Amino acid sequence: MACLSRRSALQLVGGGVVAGRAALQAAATATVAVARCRTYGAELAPTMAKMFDQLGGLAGMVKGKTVAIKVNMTGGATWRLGTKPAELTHYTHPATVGVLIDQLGRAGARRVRVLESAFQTGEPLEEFMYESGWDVAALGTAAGRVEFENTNNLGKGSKYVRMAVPGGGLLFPSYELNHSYHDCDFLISLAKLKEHVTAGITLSMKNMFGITPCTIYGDGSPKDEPSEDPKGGRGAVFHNGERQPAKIAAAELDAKSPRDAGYRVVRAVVDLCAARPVDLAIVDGIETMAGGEGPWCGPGMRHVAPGVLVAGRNCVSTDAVGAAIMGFDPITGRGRPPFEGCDSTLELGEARGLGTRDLKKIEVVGTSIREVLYLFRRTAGA
Amino acid sequence: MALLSGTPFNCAVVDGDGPPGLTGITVVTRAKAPAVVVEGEWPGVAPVKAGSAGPTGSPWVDSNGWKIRLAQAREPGRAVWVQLKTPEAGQEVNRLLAMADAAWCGARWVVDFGDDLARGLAAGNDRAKGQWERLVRAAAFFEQHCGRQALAPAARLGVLSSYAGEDEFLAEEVLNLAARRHLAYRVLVKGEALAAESLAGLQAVLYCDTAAPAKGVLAALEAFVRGGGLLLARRATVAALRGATPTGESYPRAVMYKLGRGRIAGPKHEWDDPYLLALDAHLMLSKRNDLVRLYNPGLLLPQVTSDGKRTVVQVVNFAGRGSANDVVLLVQTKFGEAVFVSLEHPEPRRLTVQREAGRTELYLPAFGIYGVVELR
Repeated sequence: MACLSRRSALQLVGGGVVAGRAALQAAATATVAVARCRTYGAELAPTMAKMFDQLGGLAGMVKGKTVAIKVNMTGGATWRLGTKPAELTHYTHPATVGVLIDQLGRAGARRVRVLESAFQTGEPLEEFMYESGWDVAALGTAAGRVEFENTNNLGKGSKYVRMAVPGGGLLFPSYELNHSYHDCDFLISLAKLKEHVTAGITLSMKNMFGITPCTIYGDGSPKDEPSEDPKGGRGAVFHNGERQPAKIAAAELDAKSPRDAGYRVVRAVVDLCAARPVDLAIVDGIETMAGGEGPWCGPGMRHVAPGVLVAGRNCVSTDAVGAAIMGFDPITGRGRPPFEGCDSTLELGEARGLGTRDLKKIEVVGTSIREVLYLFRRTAGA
Repeated sequence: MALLSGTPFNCAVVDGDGPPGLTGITVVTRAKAPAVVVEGEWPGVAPVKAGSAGPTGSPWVDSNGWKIRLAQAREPGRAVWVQLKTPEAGQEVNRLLAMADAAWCGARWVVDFGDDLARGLAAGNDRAKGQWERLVRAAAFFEQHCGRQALAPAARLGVLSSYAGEDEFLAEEVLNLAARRHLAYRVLVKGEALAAESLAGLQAVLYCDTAAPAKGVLAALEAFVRGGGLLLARRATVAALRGATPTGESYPRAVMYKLGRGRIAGPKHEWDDPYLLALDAHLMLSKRNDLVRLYNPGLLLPQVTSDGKRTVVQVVNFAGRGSANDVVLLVQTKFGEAVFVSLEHPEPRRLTVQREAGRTELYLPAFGIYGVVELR
């Protein structure tokens, strides 16, 4: 099976329906909200508000807290797939960021920090957003106290924070991070619904890969002390293991482990999700791209409009539902779509106790997966 | 020399007396050229040297734009000619790009035939004749589209320096690197005074020199800041501006002061890195004030000129060939219609204006070396 046909996908996601809602609720270990949302216009705010209510209400999660939102702005600020603005293909859309900030403010969040490690730069995140064409002023006034921080270096902090992976980690025992991931009470991974050429899929878990500062984990970081001018991506340290991070960070657990990106990147992702747990996972699948995570992934990339939002308190379960919506079986592992060349973040995450990927144990509220199913890879049987 | 007949070329630069019997052609020696002659690099992507890379790791683009603009600022009203150094071994010699890199700044490239083209033309070689015909067509195109459109460079940043002595390297490299950042600038050459109109329209001035300027210049800078402008300057100049008070703002490499309605950014440490200086100038000015922005820029560099009524955005592709990606131009200027021409397609094409989410964008048709958008 190259990937799920529509019929197969429907059979897969239909399991929960056949089992019955009462039985599912009894067995469920996680709740994930799914909503149809066709545009980033007027329907977005009420849709997101309803989803948060379905998850128990934002106020209960964030009132009085410092909330960090890790957005996904992968790649350069001026890179586009065709002429489409990046937020319609590979970036989190600023409208979802704005609505989220507004609703966090209304829910009583004390402070909201928008975070991303901007590609190959240590400049303020606001400037990176301006360059992308975002209206930063609108985001900054969407709630009472909104801050932005580029976490690709120290940012506004005075030192990096070492965050240990409970249980020891799969790739590294700990990660040196910008202070913002530590100095927050509640972390939201606001991701995009995409495939990924190295990790199979990039949803709320893979979004966390970008919290690592390239001043330490970048291709051009010095060997000893980090530079505050991040250079390059994370290929040498995380993808192929050509080098270790700057010595300020803990070295890799096993220097003889595979130098295979499909082995390494997904383990780093799971480590990071364990070291700094995601408190709320939101996946923007209103408009996105198929074939890879960015316009640089080669031919075959295309803009798609699944018209869906997914949110949940557990990142593994939320991503499992997201993967199912994309037409992939979340239970599958290496060698099967979308994990042909890598291990599954869902499988590794579940094994590490981060959450379940089993749709039979996930209560999907709002719209069913069946209703919003959008096959990212079309097959003959689709 | 018969090749020049009927072409836009009207001047031959020779090393001796030149051939006899030329009509309609001015013959000059290099020493007596009726223009400021700038010695430039062959434009394009610099050959990669082992272990070297630009500050951002991006391909290093060589352009003579900043040298031309500096020459024009030093000697306003005089023509500027660009004479290129012998290309490095292995470097691609793209004569159309050389012509474009001079023309988009309102200068002219002194066409260098090189041994290959000269021998080919002398032998009547078809390939050489084809190259020459393309150069003739390009010269005519640039005369039509760059000569007329050589309006004043539009910018929100002025870069002020003597561009001489100990200050020469830093100031010139700032110009060079600002262009690579797509940061529009106006060259301001320091003298005894600085006319207020030379600062008109600017939001920031970067004064590069170590020593404080003469009283007349200092007074103009103070008036600029008091009126709401931003000045980036070294310690001696900050100290000379009385009344500046620290704001306490946090900035990695600058100490911020307030003076009147404006601000001054003084250095925390002495300036020695032009890359960081150009970066800081851009960030303090903020990218939200960029006049234009290119999406999927590849190796394109833009230049904006304007006379207040008409804005022209010229774009040179230093890759020397068509972009593999769709290029989008974001424009901050208000305009009614946008017309595009390129070296390959000189017929004007009206562009559809994309206005969405508060952005005004133009999708540029594919072009190889040079394209120009006129916003009317």
